[in-house]
Amino acid sequence: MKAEGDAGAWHIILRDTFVRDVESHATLPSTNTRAMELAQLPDLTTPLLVIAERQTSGRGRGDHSWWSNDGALTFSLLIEASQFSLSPELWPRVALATGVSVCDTLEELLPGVPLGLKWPNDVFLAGRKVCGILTEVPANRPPVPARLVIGVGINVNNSFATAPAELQQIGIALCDSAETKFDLTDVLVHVLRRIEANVWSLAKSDPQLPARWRELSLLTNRHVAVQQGSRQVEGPCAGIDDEGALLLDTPDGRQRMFGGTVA
Amino acid sequence: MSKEPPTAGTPFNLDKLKELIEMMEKNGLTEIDLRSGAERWQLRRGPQEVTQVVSAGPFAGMHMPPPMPMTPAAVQLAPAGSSVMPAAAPADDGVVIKSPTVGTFYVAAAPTDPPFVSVGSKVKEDTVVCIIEAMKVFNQIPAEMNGTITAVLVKNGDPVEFGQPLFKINLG
Repeated sequence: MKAEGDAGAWHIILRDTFVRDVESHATLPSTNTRAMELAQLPDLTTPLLVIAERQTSGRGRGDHSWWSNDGALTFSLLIEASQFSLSPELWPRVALATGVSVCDTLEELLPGVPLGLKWPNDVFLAGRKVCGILTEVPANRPPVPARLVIGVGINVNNSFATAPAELQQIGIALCDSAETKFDLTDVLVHVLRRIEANVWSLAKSDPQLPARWRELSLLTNRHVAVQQGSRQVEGPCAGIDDEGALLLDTPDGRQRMFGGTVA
Repeated sequence: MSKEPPTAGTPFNLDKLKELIEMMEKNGLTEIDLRSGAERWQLRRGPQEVTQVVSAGPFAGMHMPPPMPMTPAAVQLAPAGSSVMPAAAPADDGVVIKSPTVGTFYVAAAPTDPPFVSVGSKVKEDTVVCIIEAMKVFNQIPAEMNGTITAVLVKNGDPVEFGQPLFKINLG
């Protein structure tokens, strides 16, 4: 256990959530990069939480790097697939399940706010992005067990009033919506509990989980274009199926999208 | 994958070649070696050691595709009049690293990063060769074998299917 940052937070997390070890940092380039390093170690106590009060280079793909500032909640959760009976064909649905978990949490903390999930992993609050999720699977081989790193960044107290103007149009923090500050540890505990519940739902093929991502889907009934390399697929979105695929009704029929970027 | 048989200046019987390939497919043969005087026809087909591909690791137990369909992979023709034949190409000629999942193929961890591997890279079983992203879950893909990358078969950012060949590799 390593605690450079808020030394008081980790014992609450160990007491109130399924996390069994915490590595806490005041600053870290990226919690996911650190968690991916740890994920390759043979002996590790999991679920393990890597948390940073401040990320200096939080990662996304391409120009999707996330707005990060003091007051955001940034963490990476490292889980062992076998602990949750999470078979590999379920892994692609982990980001979606995490997005549902964040929505569930925000709904609890901010009752009545308009929330939605932009397939597969962006959470929107009042039409602006409030959370980014980056899930990675290290290339572990026996004897190192299969693990997943679930990286989450939620804008909590990092008000977008101080963000660059172009980001104010597209991003929002919880404090901007609620006009009050939140206890980061409290938000974290809520999210971790929801993630635990939804990972179990995923592993058990609980139909309530896909029902929930369909309910939260912001793209359903909208015309959507998905870019996959040089190929673009577009058409009205018919929702998200049980396997998490985005359904697009194209002139060639219904396409199930498992990857690509929503334009 | 198939080398075009030489046509100019070579009295080469394409019908005969087609017949031989069909005979190999029908009978499940992977190699034939015919000699007649100074002429020698040596045909090999199919990735011959694909069963080694991705047998363990994070995707063990995932829906694995059936082995690659056997297709003519290499047709070697001896020049007429040659008396000393080159040794047959190593049997691992057709070995490929296949995609263990459906998703988007990335050669590097980030667009600005150098690729994990390129042609000529030596890889070990645990070397990460690419990332395949499915619904924003980024899977590092290990080589699962030792050897040298001889071809990258997919373009960065392109979608890939279960079992699609990603890299050609010379084992060893």
